[in-house]
Amino acid sequence: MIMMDGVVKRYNDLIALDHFSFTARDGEIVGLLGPNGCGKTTAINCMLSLLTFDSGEIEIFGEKVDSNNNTVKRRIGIVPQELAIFDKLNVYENIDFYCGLYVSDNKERKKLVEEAIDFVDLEKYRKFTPGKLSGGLKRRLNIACGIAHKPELLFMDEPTVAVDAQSRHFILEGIKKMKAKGTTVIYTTHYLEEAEQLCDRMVIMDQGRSIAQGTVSQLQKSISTQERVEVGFLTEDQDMKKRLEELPHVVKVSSKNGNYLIHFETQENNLPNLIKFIESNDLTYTELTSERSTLSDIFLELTGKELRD
Amino acid sequence: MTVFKGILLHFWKYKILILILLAAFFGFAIMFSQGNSSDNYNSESLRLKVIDHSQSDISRGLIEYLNVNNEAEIINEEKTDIEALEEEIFLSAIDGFIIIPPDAQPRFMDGDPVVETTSDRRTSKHLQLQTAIQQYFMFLKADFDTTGTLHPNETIELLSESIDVKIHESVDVEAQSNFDYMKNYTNFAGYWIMLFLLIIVGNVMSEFNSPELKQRINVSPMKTGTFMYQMIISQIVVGLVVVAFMFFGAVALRSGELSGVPLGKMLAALILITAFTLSIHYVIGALTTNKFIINGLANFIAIGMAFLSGVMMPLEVMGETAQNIAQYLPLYHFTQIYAEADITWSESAFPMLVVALYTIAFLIIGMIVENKRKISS
Repeated sequence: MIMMDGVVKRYNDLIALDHFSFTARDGEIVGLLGPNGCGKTTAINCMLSLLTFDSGEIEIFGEKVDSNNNTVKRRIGIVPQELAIFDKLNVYENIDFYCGLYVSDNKERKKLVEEAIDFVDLEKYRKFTPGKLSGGLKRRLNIACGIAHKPELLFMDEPTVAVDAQSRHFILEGIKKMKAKGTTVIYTTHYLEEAEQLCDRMVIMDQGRSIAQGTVSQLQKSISTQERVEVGFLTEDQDMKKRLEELPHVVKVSSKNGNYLIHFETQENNLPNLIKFIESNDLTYTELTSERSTLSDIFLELTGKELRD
Repeated sequence: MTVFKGILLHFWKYKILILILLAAFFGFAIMFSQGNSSDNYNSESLRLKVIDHSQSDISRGLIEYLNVNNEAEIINEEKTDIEALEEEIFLSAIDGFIIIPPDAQPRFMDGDPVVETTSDRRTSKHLQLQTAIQQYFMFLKADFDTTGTLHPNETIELLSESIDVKIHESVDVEAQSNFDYMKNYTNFAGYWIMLFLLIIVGNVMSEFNSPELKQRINVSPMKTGTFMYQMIISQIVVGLVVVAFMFFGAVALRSGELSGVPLGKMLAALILITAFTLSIHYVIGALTTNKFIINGLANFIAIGMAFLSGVMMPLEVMGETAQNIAQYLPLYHFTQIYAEADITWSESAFPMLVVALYTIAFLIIGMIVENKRKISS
């Protein structure tokens, strides 16, 4: 459905996209992850032909992107990061306006607008202007304006920024419903837990480049630490760190709050091995926790910085 | 026609503000209309009392003259009670009283005020009395200066004579009055249209031009040309509706008082100033989407231009520099389209062309600014 190959976009000396490549298949939710300024929005704007690019290729629905290709544009929807709604128009009028840019038939448009209002559950607020809506409801309206014409491909640029937990849950469930209906979603976010919960595949971006792509499990496999175990002992032993490093699959052992943090390169049998070690050495542990590597770890290891940096 | 309808819907959302502005405009127009109506003045027979301390030829002549058109009663000087006479004026029993001092004749010779009059200064009768006394002494003095002797009776005869004044056929006083009113009305309407369009259209279009909304529109299958076309058409429709309100509002307000008014030229002028204002708005819209800046610029441009173009006050009362500057402003040429009641279309053609050229110039500037903005983004 989308193919981006070696795209370069420069703003004078600044390289916003550096040979960026990525693909998205029909019905997938693909997450574009990366810190602020990593090129996510530039990549989306290039795909939407809002920006020209210096080199590379972009194809959507098998056709090269072109700002004059209305057949392709008709099948695309966008939910921008900033609220793009008219302050003076009410909920119904806002959705109707944007839907009208795609659908000229009045009867059909009316039906689509009603469906969109229903989808984002704004029925009670249909006569409200945005000024009277809460932040979460405004976000829902912003989404409704982007999906009313039932796009096959939807770009969602951080749709849950500054949204309360209830509205965020509502929005994420809505996206899942759209996927179930066959919509392909390109989703950018800061929130790793959202991406983990929602995305089939992820593209991790840094400094305009794609540094890793794949499912969460594929990405996890691409880094050295698969599992972290934190353990604390009742008695101190000078050689403990060295002895723990000798355990199978241990990558490294570090100290954390008086405890030991053990990094394992696999996720298999780490805890049984550690418990066996404790029993055989007649040790008493005060704390024992295990955590599989998260997207945050993946990001940290791949880029050397936190996602929210 | 989604954008067309969307823009018109936005204007509809400003209906209260539009109604207030229209009401304010027509409120002023009606007020000026009433103020402009001609006042009729008819002289009345005054009820006067005269205390003659002088008993001279000129005092007797004055009383005789006043009695020609009024009732001047001579009262006994010994029974004179000034306060009682003042009360009579207050109660409208008499219109005034005149005290002729003993030295009236020497005063007259010396050119000093001769008599004292008391009347209600708030009424036109006061003016009538003053005028009558002034006329009598002015003519008497002129005669005295010429002949060296006093001839009160001849002066009274002279003042009783009348002449016929025939107004030249080409000067139609009523038509000129109609034209003067409509000229001021159109001046004000031009200023109001500028202010209205710059503020209302500016505010509406600032939303449509905001980057977030524009991005969504650009992503849609609507072509830029179609968007521009619908945007321009909607603004023209709004502009024409405003012109229609102004023009037909005046026609309704002055129905029966439109003879001698070059209505066609005034309508053309209003249409041209609307087009010019939309072109200015286009430039402002290309420069900024900030509503505060738009409103500020709208007021600055409309008031500044109206002031310097003779719309708010006649250019004649301004200095030479201001008059020279005015000739370079489109609003000045707007007023020249209907500058005279009998102006011909060929005479109006030049100022019309100037306003049209200003419109085209601003459209070109707007296009350049917008293209530069697109390139830089």
